[in-house]
Amino acid sequence: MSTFAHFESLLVVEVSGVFGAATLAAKLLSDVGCFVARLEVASGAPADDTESDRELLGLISRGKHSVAIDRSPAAADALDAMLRHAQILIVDREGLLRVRALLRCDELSARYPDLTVCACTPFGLEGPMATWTGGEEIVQAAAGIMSITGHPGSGPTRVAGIPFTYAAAMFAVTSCLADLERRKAGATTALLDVSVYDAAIAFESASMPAYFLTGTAPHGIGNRHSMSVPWNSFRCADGWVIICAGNHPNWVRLCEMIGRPELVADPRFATQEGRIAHVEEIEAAVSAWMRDRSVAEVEALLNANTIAGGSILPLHDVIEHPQFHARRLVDADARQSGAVFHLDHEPLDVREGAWGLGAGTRTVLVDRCRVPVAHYERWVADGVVMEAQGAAHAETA
Amino acid sequence: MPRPLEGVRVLDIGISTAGPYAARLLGDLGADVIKVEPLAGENTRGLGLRYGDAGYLYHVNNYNKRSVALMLQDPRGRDLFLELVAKSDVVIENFAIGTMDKWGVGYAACREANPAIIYCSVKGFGESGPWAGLRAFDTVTQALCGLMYSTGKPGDPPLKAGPSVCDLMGAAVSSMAVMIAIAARRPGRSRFLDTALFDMGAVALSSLWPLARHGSAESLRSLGNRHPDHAPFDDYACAKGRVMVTVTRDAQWRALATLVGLPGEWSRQTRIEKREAIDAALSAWLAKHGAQEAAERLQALAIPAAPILDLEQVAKSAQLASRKMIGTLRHPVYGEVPLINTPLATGEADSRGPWRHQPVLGENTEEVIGDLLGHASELPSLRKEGVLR
Repeated sequence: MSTFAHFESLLVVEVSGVFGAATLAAKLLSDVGCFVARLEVASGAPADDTESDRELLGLISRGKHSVAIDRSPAAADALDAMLRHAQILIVDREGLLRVRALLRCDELSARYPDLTVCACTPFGLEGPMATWTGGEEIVQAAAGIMSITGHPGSGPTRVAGIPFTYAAAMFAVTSCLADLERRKAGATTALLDVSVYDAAIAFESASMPAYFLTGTAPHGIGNRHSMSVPWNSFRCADGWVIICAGNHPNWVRLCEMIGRPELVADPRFATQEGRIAHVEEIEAAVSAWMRDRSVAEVEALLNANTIAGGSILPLHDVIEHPQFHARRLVDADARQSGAVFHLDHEPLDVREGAWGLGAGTRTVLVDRCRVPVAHYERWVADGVVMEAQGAAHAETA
Repeated sequence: MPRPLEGVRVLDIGISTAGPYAARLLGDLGADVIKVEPLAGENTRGLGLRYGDAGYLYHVNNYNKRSVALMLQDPRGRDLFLELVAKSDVVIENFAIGTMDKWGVGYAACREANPAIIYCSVKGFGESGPWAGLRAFDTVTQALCGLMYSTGKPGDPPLKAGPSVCDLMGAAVSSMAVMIAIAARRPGRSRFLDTALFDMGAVALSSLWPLARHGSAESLRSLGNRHPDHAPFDDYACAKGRVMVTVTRDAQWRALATLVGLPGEWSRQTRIEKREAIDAALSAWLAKHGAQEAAERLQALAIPAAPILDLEQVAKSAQLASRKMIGTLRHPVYGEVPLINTPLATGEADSRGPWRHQPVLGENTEEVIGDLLGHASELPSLRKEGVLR
């Protein structure tokens, strides 16, 4: 296992209301070795979380340290102590409002000049949608992602999972560390404003130009590639396979693989432009060869012929696959997600924090933030801060 | 104000998107990114929609860089590359495994040239695991990571994401990994960073991992716009346009229930069981409103909703303008080029646009090979012999 020992001295404070880019950004910083303190407000209300919700929370929270506070003005002192010792504050919109309200301070950068403050929100802190609520799907709708995802005629379709939320989290981490670098050089900075919306727009680098150049909005083209043919999913006898044989050498090998070497010499298919113009005929030839073959047979032939492609796997199979485990995307018990890149040929160490509600309160405030023990004990006695008790629930708003 | 990565030099020897976009993100932060291209140019210069004589993808992925065109397969080209490595901080490459070593410029050679080099290898499946050697494009990794299986409407064939999400997330994680290594670097210590498009596709689905662990494969097939654990959660027709509504919390439901005339006390589980009835009531309400108006009214009640916009509507939206995510660059060769700006944040409102234009092929050979490496007098012969352009 590898690690970045350098980051152990960095204290990151996360204040977020709901699962989103801020939560993930703090998780990523924890993965590379930062000490992440997650501020939570204890609530007596039972949540209606499902087992899957709780498992997801564990996957993204285990490396963090939970600090539980109440809503009283005195809790501001605990937060202030954390921010005076922290290098990075990660917030979502609710978190930013909460911090500002608790501290009675709108200009965090002025009050904490050595603190990098990064807001990770769905739509950013500016613009007509700045106050809009919603997660991944709401951003996908408003940013045009759904309009360019879909089979022809099937209507707008969301992309499964949270790719843009995750991307925004990575952009937030990069932005925060870049900000620390600039501070090292003596510069001061303002609030970093990262949004899932911006990430989605950035990911339209191959689609938005179609609108720039033609004035017409592109729509979903299924699994085809606008610039390369053959490139599509094809039905086999027992499932689906994707084939990406877009360049000429791949095209030649594919023709030989499907027993149609004469297609190579056909002048209609001699160039990429020609193959794009005759996509239906080419796909018909590939489909005819595929339909009676098994996925395993086709996959083996694609590999043997070094043609890019493969089966379309359900997530169910992916998370059990040796590739998934070789990449250490989860820890040995699949209780916590692992780091998202490898360092010096080793996966990054999966860190264990104190993520149960209030489990990290003392460690963070006394050990990391140097709050005097007597002071801390008084906070505990007054219910300003809470240590782990097992039965309490974290409020997520 | 200085850019965060001023003084950091990055060699971008990638092709297509994952490597070049990762390097561009570092350029966005002020790094001096030198794009090392083959003599005929990187592949996206000739790919797809053109702006001038260059593919649009090239324009978008390669601003904030300089360009040198170098024949790496020639020993003199290889040596020049390694000289550049000695004067750089980072190398980013995304060729098939073994290609850089075959050319004599892999991690071992780079580390020998510069013991403190940060080397980022961007691959379809990473440098480990049984699929490490597979050929990969974004679409292939989308298929093998589970994303295509779960995207798409029920009853339709599996579907890939419209954008190249694995490619671009691969770029995002690579630039992040390099930034981390820069922030944590120690004198004389090289780093090997191994990133994978497959890993990114898989973590993009991490919100579904628990469902996949406990459910059947079928339960995650072609999810469409619904969520198996929440209702109402779908796209709906309005009087004009469509709107996405995603209710996940009781408070949101209570607000919506008042609007559509259903019991506000329905629990999450009850809402899932009564999904069809809720969808019918919500559809009836939405049919009286345009998508934008409906979304604004729902948002005013803190109910997650948004109109489903196409790219023309997005490009013309006040939201996009306020985020400054689209800009125009005046290029000395191509004229006015509309570009997508950086998603990274620097705390400066006007820092999103390019600070250096996308280079024409070999535009910076003199200043890089001539001035930086001190080979100015050899340039004519190197050009004549096809080592550089």
